[in-house]
Amino acid sequence: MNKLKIAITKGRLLEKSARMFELAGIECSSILSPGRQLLLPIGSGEMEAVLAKAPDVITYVEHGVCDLGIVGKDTIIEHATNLYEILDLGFGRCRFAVAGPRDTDFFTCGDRRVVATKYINVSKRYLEKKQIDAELIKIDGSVELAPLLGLSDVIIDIVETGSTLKANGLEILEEVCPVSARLVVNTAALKLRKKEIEALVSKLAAAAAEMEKKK
Amino acid sequence: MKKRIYTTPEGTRDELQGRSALLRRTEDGLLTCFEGRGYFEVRTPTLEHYDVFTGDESTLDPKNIYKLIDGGQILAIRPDSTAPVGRLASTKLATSPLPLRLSYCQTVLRCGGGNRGARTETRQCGIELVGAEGLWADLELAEAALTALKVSGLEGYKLELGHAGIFTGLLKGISLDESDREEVMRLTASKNYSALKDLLGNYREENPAAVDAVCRLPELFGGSEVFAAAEELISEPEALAGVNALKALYAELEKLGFGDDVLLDLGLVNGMDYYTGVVFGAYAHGTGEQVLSGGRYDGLYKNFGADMTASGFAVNVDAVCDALEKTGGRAATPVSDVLVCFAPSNAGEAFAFARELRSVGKRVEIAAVSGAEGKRLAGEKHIARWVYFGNDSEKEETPCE
Repeated sequence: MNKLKIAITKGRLLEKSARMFELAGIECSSILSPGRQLLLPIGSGEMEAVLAKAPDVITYVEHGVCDLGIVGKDTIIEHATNLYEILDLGFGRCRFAVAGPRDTDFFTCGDRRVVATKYINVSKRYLEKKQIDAELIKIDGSVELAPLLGLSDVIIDIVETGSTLKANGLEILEEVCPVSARLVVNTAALKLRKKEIEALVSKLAAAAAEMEKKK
Repeated sequence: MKKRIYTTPEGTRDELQGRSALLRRTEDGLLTCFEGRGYFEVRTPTLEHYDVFTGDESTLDPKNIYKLIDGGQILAIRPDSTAPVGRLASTKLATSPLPLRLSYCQTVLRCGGGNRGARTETRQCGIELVGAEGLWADLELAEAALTALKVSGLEGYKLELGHAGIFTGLLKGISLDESDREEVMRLTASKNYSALKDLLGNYREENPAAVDAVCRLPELFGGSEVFAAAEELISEPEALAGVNALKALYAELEKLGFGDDVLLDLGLVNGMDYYTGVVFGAYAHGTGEQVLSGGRYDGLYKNFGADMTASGFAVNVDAVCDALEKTGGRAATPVSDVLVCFAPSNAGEAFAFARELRSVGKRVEIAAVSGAEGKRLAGEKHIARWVYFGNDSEKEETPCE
C-alpha cells in the first residue's frame, strides 16, 4: 500500500501543524526545515507530507493525489470543495469580515457600492445573502489598499488581530463568519483506507484538543 | 484576434490511440456485462430541451448546464443520461412490458469546472431498471454494479451503499427551515461532524433522538458493524426501514460472495432530494473520483408523466481509465502487426496478401514503397513484420514472428 500523503498549508498554519504532529507523537522535523526536498517523510516513514499554498492543498486532496490536508476554512469556503471536512483543528483562528473606513454607509446606502476582495466566492455568497448588489473587484495582494486608494468602499477579507486594519484607519463593519484550520480528507481515501485514516484522525484530534486547552 | 486553433477548451481533451483503445475496451466490456443481464443499449440526443433537466426531482445545478437558444427555445447539452433515458422510457417505451431494462454509453457535459482539472465532458456507461423495486431489484442492480467494476479490471475497488430513507426519515422529526435543512445535508455529506453538532444543537430539545442520530450518521460507515450502531441509534420508522432494507441487501450480497467488495455509508446523502431508496457509489485505487454512482429515484419519471419506479447507475468511464492507467501503466499505443510494401506492378498481389492476413485477424498496413524504405518504415513504426512484393514477384520479408 502507498504511504499516506498529507498536504500542509505553508505559512501561518505550518508551525501550528508541526506542533500538533509533535503532540500526537508523529516525528515531523522535516516539515520545519524542508530544504529542497518536496516530498517529506514524517512519522516513522509511514507517511509523507507536502507543503503547499492553501488552494493547492485543496486541489491535491480533491484529486486524491494527497489523502489528507490541513487548510484554512477560508480556502475551503472560497473553493466550494468536494471533500470530507472531518476535523476543526481549532488553531489558525480568525474571521471573515467586511471592513472599511469608520462610518462607511455600506449596508443601507442604495447607490453603487464597490467591494475589493481576494475571496470572490465568499464575497458573492455573503452579498447575495445580505441582498446587497455591489461590484466586486479581485485584489491579490494587500486588500486594505483598495479603500485607501479610493478603488473600493469596503473590503471583505480574513482578519486575524485587526492591527493592519487599525494601522490604516479601517475597522470591521460586520463579521461574515469565523475561520480556523481544518483537517480535510479525500472522499475515496476515507473509504478505501478507513482504518489508517481513522487512527491518524483520532491522534490528531487529541493533539489539537490539547493545544486548545493550553491556550 | 489571434485564433485559438491549437488547443481544446478547458475541461475537454483529445484522446490518443492508446487511451482511445482503452476507453473502447472498457466501454465494450461494460456494455457486454449489461447485455448479459438483458439491458440493451439506447441512445439519446446530445441536445435536449432544457426542461428535461429541471424537474422537481433533479440534483443538477442549473448553472452547470450548457444552454443554447434555438429559435427562442432553450436547449441543453446533455448534462446527464438518466433524465433523457427516463424521458425516452416514459414516452416511446411507455407500453413496453415491465420491468424495462436499458443501457446507455454516451458523454455528458457540465460546465463550471474552472482551472481545477475537472472534466466538462465525461463518458458515462450505465443502466436503468424501470418498473422494478424491492430487495430483488436492488440486488440485481448492486450485482450488476459489482460485476461492472470487476470486468473493468479495477484494483481495490469498493461499492458503497447508503439509503436515502435513513436521512430523510430522521429529518422528518426535526423542524428545520429550508436553508438549515440544506446546510445539514451539506455538513453530513462533507462529514463535518463538529459543525453539524453545533447547528443541530439548537434543535436538540425538540427531538433529541433524531438530532443525536443525524449527528452520528456521518460516522456510520464501514462494514456490517454499522448496522448494530444504527439500530441502537435510530427509532424513526422510515429511517429504520431504510436501515433494514440495506441490511437485507448486504446479507444477500454476502451470500453471493461480494462481502469484501461492499462498504456501507449511512451518511451518504448527496442528492437526497433526488434519491428515494438505496444509493450507490464506488471507489478504486488510482483515482480520487467516484468511478460509479447511482441509486433509486422513484420520483423521477413523474416529471415525464409516467407512474413508474426507476433505479440505475452510471460508470464514469474516464475515471475508470484514469485508475487503470495509474495502477497498470499508461495505455500503450497500438501498433500494426504487419507492413506490406509493394512496387506499383505488384499492387494486386500485395492487397490480396494483406486481405488474407486481415481475414485471420492481423492488423495490416500497406505502403507503396521500396523494400529498403519499407524496412525503415517498419522499424520506425515498431511493426514487427514487413513484407515486400517486388517487380520480380519475389517476396522479401523479415523473419516471421
